[in-house]
Amino acid sequence: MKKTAGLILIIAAAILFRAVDTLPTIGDPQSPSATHVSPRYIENGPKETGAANMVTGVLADYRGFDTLGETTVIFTAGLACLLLLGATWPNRQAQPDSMEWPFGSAVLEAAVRFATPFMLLFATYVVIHGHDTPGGGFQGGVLYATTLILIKLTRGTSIKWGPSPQRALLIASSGVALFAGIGFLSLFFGGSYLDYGVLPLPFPSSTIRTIGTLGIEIGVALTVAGVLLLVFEMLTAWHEKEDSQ
Amino acid sequence: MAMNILQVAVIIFFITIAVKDQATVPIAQSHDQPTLSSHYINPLPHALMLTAIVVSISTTGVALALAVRIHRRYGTLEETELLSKLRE
Repeated sequence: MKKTAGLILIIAAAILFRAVDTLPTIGDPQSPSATHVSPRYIENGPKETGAANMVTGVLADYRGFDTLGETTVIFTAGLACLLLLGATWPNRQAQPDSMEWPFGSAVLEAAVRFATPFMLLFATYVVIHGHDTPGGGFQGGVLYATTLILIKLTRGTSIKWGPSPQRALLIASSGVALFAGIGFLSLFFGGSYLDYGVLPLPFPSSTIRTIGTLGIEIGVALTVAGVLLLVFEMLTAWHEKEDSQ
Repeated sequence: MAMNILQVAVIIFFITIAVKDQATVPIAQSHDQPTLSSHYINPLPHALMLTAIVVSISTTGVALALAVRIHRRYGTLEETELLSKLRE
């Protein structure tokens, strides 16, 4: 079984290596990917969407519905982990009064305490400024979740700290609801779904689009952070129940 | 996890398609001047690959949850032992 799989793999790899010769040169400005669809988005993107970051403009404005699908995918993955591992919610002991360090290290505790406010500030910056600099909702959400997971790892996963799994699920659901809600808001004002330009705000059209983009980026960040926290909690809780039995 | 590594490799390969000679990242340098398509690389594969990254996170998370469940039920993660235990 493994030998036939290996043989098929080698044959497929050989075919792919042979086909690489026929691809266009890397960096060629006349390659098909650079001449057909993308010049329209590069030239009109920043003016129409109000976002200097063209990738965020494509993701959140031109292809906003696709981003709603991605958010739903990651929310469904969180629900799937919950179904697989969530027989009981993990219950953790409250923080002891004396500051013991479960891994026996004061250095970890001091380093994490120093770094956490900067990491949270950076995550918020990445989400909010995602339309002008590299970043956006997904990146910022992952940074939020990473900060909280880092603190949980250094404090020990049996200590209760931070959002509980129920709270993390609530955060994730509110993110998806915010995203879908902004889409429905556009429907109420007579435009298509997720067409931010029809919202009746006293700004020029590209600024209204930036505000709509900011709203959905916040929704996406909340969902990603909530789901990653939920999955982490579920995986580490299961490990504990095994140890105690 | 091997699936995760494969997905990262495909994502990086796809992004190399987007590159152009003497062009910079797809973030507009100034608000007033027009953005020429020869000065910025193609932003569309980047947006596609963000979707791919999100999907790979989701599948890795669910796969890890499945692995934990399998280990809990059968006590092992080796394919040959699992097959023999399933046949019983």
